[in-house]
Amino acid sequence: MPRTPRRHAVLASASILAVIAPATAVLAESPASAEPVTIEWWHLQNNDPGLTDWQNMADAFMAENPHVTIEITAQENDAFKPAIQAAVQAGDEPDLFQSWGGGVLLDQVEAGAVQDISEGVADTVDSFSPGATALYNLDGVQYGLPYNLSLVGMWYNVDLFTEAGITEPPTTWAGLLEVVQTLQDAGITPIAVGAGAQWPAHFWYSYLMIRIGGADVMTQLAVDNNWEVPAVIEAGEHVAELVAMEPFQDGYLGADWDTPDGEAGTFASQGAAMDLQGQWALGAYRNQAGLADSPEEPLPFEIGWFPFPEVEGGAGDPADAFGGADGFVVGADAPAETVDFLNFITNVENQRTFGISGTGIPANTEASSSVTEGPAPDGPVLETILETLNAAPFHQQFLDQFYTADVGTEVNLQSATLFAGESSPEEAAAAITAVAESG
Amino acid sequence: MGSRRILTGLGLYVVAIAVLAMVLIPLSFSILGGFRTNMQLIESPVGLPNPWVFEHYKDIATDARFWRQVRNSVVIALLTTAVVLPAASLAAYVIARYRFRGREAVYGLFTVGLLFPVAVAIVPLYITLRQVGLLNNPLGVALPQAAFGLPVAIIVMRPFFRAIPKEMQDAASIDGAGPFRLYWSVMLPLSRPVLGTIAVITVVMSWNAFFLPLLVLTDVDQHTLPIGVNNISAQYSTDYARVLAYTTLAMVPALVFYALAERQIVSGLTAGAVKD
Amino acid sequence: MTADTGGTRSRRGAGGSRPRRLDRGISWPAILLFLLPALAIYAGLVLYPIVQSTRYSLYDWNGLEPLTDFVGVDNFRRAFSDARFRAAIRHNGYIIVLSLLLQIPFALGLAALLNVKLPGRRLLRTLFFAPYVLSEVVAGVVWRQILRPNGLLDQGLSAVGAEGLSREWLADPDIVLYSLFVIISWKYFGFHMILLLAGLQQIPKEIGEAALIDGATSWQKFRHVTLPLLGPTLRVSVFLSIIGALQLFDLVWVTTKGGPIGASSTMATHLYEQFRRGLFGYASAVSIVIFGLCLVVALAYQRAVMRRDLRGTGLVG
Repeated sequence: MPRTPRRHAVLASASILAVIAPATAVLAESPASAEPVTIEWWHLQNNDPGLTDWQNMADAFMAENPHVTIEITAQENDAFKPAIQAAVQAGDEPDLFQSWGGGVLLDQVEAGAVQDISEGVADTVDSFSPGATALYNLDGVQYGLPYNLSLVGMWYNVDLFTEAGITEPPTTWAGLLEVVQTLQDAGITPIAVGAGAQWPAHFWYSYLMIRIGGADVMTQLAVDNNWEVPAVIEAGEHVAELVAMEPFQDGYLGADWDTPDGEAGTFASQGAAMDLQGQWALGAYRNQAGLADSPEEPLPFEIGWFPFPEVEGGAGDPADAFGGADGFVVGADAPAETVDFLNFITNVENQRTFGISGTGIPANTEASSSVTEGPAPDGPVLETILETLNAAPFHQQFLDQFYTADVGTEVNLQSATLFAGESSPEEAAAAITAVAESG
Repeated sequence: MGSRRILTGLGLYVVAIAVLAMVLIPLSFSILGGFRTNMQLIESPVGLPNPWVFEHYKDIATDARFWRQVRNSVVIALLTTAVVLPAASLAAYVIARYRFRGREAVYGLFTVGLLFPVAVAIVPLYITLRQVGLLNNPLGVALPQAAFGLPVAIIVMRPFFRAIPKEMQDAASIDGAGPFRLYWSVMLPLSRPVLGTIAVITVVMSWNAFFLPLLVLTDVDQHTLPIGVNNISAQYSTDYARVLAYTTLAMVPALVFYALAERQIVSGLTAGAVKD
Repeated sequence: MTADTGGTRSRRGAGGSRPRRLDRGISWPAILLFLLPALAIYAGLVLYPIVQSTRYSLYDWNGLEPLTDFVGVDNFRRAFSDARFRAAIRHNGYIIVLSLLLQIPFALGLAALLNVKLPGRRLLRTLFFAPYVLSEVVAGVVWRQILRPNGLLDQGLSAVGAEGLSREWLADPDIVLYSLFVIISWKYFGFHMILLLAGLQQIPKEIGEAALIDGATSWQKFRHVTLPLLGPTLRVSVFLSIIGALQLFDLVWVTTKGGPIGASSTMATHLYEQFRRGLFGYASAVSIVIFGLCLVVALAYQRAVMRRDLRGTGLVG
């Protein structure tokens, strides 16, 4: 079989095996059978409140549909990835499982591991943020639904800003660099980053690409596999500019994300003033600060959030969003009831439970305001994030999930290398292109 | 001469204590860490618990899931050892004490398993296990672990079996004992140190194994301790103080096992048994 | 084995003649029976997967789709020109050298120490073995806390006024490998210690005592009696240390993931990276190269060092 060139983007054409559709059509037949069925569900909420909440949802569905049994396996994030890969490889994938769309979903589609649920979700698919739903739609075929949205932005310590005499968060890149300088002069570490884990570094690199290149360039990257474009190189130059100021915490190059000495720990203990992270970081900070069991107690400092600043002269819209959407996809051999269950757990009511518990931002647009209704006192901040998310004209998925694992890993690696000052923007772009082209 | 003796004795103690410190400090960090909170760990990496937090240890010790995982880990470790010891000692015995054509080839074949990165073999191994229906089954973990533990076991056992003097073998053969009798009545009893050593190594390896159990045991009831430790990490953050408490508790059974097995290793062979 | 306390077959065969086809006292069926349990599970669960993954190395495969994209030796060509792979090999080399120079003598010294009737040695043995029992995850977590900026080590240094010596132990690409070596030694010296201890235990006391009675000093006894008798065990310990250093994965992955930016990568972490990138075919090729390297090292070691143990087998002259 001749090697077909890899297409990575959601909007790509060609190379999807249309064979899956007729094969799974047989399975997606009338759901009226009362034969007992089992649905195997793998999700990532291996801790409370998510663990209990979702068990409750499963119980509720089983009560309504007595012939259905739902078996849940709650996996830890990093353990899930090899586990699902092994399961798909063996043809033994679960019926409903976590997904991030993008390149990995594409691989799973080509392997025939997931089924076309376009029919089953025809009525519900419009309840979600369109950018998020699009991540689970390849070539016009819907394979899953989103349940959680992410947005990356700049968390900051308002108290430390005030201490350094900064009254307003910056709105431009130049302004950000000034803020960094001011903080340094006041003896405060400006930025926390876990460059050891690499993916936190790629947030900076990616956002700069988005701001400088805009939606068109980002989309084109996926089509051409050519990263040696001015926008990417300029983004690298800005990263180098920042790194040269040495604004990070000690040992940042080896630091992880959520360890006591890593990015979250540093920020939560007021060791740094800013942290470019997703909205989930709030939960992590609270956890690091030991507040996991006291949801009403506020953090020991005032926390704020501002969107990633615009880059002067950049082609990107300053309102463009960078983040992902978690979703669930349906396994190839799953019984028809699985799609019903998927619609159930992503309905407004259950998504509201999800939002209130503080586990994430519901993808169901009617439920999204629930994030401000939780017991945690950080409602206003979450509202700002929600507004930014809803107003975004373009939503770029995390680069290390949007593309294939190979390209994604390379982007992460090059981001970290730029953060170490050990390569030039041109070298970084060339390295990523080399990997993208070999795929 | 006497004072030299005392100095040497002292010197030995000093070295022992220095090494002890190096070993104990990280260990005690792990133990004490469980008594602190994450925030304490962030703010003062070095320091005694202040205040002492007993919740972590208490929560874990009263968690049924933890004990289930202990049970699963114990079962798998025992199964693995129960397979490795007989299989390896039988094979190492003939390889060590009898010459036959192809002997070195067989020994070399076993060494191959040591040289090949395990990570790669996992994918086809998983498929094989699935085909024979050993997924979600302790044996599905124990058998592969035993198989991959055979190389080290055989390599370590061979010189030990070799070193047992031929006089013992000759004496028993004259009495009419065949190779199996020799193995059972003569070699095995004399090999307690090495058998104990391999048992310990196997138990420890199995106790800490993570990747294979993770793939094979999807059912939560079957999970082992390392998987349990990993599950403490939530999707977006980790409570390190809890992790330390958990892993400290998880370490205890393996250490106890070593302390018990240690008797076998050390008290095994004495000169009296060998010389006639 | 000339180090045997009793006479052995090897003396008879020392003339270099071909080995007998089969020893007296045993039959082929008996040999097969002895080997069967080990061979059976080994063949099915180790050899068969290895052969299978060898197949994968000839394909461009992402681990999910069917095996259809045959690329022949492309993956191997890529492996040999992969600069990161070469760097990883170099790192393994450093670790081997450091292990042999530092770890083994240290373990030997401790084993000798614990062989002496010191009061409390049982407790000492258990404690010295504890790091080996600890899971890699914990070792990684604990040592990261010790070596982090302002961690235990840094604070210890400032306590004795030596702040200037403080470094970014795990974040500085130039020294991270050496920091890692310290952690590796801490974790695994117990393994070699009990191995050598078992070997020491097997040496009959009478021989040592005889030497001492003859006027030898402790050191002479150690050098001329104990060491040679410990020879085979020592050689096994060194061999396992080398192979262990070549296969090093768990501890490195948990502590640094081979970072920062690949500065502490090993062949095995590099291999695992390829899996994470979805490059199963390439990963399989890398693993075969690793295997080849290990095989060469193992064979060279067997020939050069374990010559004596193999004398009389016809394999070595």
